[in-house]
Amino acid sequence: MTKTIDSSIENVYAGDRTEMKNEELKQLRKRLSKEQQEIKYRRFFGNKAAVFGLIIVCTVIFLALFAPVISPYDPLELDTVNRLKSMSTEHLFGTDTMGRDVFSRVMYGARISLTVGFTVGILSGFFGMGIGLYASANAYADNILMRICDGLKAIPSTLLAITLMAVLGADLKNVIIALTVVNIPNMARLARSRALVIREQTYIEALRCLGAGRLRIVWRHIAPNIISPIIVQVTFVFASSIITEAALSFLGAGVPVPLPSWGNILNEGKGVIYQAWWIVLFPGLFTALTVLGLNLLGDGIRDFIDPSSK
Amino acid sequence: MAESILKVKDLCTSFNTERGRLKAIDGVSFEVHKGEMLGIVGESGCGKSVTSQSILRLYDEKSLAKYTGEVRFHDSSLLDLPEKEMRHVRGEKISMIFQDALSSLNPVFTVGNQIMESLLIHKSITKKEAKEKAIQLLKDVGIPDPVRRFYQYPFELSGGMRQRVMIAVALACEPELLIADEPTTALDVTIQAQIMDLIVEMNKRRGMGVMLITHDLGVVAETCSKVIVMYLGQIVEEGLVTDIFDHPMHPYTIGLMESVPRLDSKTGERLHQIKGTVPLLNQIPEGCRFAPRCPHATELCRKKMPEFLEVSDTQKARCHRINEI
Repeated sequence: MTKTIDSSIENVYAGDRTEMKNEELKQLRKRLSKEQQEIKYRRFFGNKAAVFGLIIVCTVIFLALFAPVISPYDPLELDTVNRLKSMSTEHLFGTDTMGRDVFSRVMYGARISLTVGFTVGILSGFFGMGIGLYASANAYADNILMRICDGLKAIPSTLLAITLMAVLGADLKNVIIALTVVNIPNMARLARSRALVIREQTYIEALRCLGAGRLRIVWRHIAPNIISPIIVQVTFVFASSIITEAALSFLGAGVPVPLPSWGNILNEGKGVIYQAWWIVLFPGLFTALTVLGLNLLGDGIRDFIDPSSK
Repeated sequence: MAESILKVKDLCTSFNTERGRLKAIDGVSFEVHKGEMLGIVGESGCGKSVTSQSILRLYDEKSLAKYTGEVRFHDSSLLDLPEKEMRHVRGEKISMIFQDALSSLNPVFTVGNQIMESLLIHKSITKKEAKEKAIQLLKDVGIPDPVRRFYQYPFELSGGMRQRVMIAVALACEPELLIADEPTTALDVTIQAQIMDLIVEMNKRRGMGVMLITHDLGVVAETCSKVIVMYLGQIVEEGLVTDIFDHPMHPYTIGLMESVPRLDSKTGERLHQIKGTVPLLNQIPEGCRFAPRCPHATELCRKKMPEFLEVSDTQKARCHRINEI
């Protein structure tokens, strides 16, 4: 591999030419980046925990995507004759208080839980990073923004989410908004603290020596340096949002009732836990597994994207 | 004498600190001519780096630093330029290389990207042209396999290679003045020699002025034509290399020369050292700043700050007793 690359460099530079053939350059670049990609993939797939996490997350995503195909029943269909039926070949995870198929409800619940988790992770990562970077570059805005973040962080996050839900009303969209607001302060803090560290590095000073403007430094040079902890944090927020959403739904302040989310199912099952423990067990198990998978994956991603970590 | 590029006159830089306003450099004046290599030497903390960074106004002027005096680059006064125009001076007209080449390169970008960066900031050229120029630059600074290196990240290169890349970045826009702030300190001796050769070559080939900041007197003797010796924010002696090395006048310079290990020194003989340490900036002595550590100090030295006296046409020293020592 290396040998062929070396010889192609010689070709490019044969006879000490300064002009380059673009075709050859492109091919060379492709091969080089492919080589690096291979190293990276090996680094990621050599990490067993990360691969395990990836498998879990992919499975859950697969189940959520194909919920309509996989589920044997309509998750909302009532069947009062078959209430609280135990697990059987007909009802894999049994049935709930109104005779709905728990398996189907858990599959559809995965859709809602993942949507909430993913959207909240991405949105809070995006806004948190923007706010954090802006704060790190502007001392005046920093004071104001960080005091707001401190204020939001002073309230326990679940309580804050419940309050926001009470104000906004129970709705899937509002769950996402509430959880995003709850998670932004942490994200902004993280982005800001990382940006402040990077800002003091010699290479930022060197860039200033090159005449780079403030905007260019912040967005083009500091941002890519802080992105890896942000991405890792996004996966953790993804995981914690699934839990918080479940908690909100469990308390009745989350996704409105007929829609199956893992928290909703838990909530409905809690009254009959001694007669029908399966209603609580399966959504709980799925929540725990998904969160575990996301956390393992988060650690793996960190090692994967940071070019200097080995 | 060649045309003067940079003229610094009475430059003072002071910093706001918890202990009040401290003057890190106090009335520094010198000139750099086209194609000239000027060495600035002195102990740690004597203001060498502050001088160079003040020329580019790298310290935050809103809260931290205050500059007075005059810095003339050709016809423009750098201390009065608005920040926006100052940016065009940095990197394009005057560029700088730092001591630690690893931390001077952004770890998340490829080497090539970083060389292109300065070209893309200052010149209106396409990415493709910038790329070709960058590879040419890598070749100029003596990096083998420039195309391969172009796509590598800083952590994949050795220390000497990184310093070469830094030099390529600094030279990208063909500046008229290069400030090299201890460019070889972090490198081993063989690589040091190579890097210095490279800087000298660029200096000769491009007619670029170089300000070499270092505490390695050997390097200065070999490469520079003029030398400035700094102590506690002031220039204590300046002159041609031959002046300073053959007949140093200021007791501090003499002390520095004697502190260099020599091949002909007797075995078992202890290396000379200048007694004491550089005083803190808030405890600057009255009178001559070197007086507390000077073996020749008199009552007058402790009371009155000496003038910067001409010893010959080319040499100047700040000492009351130049004629006696």
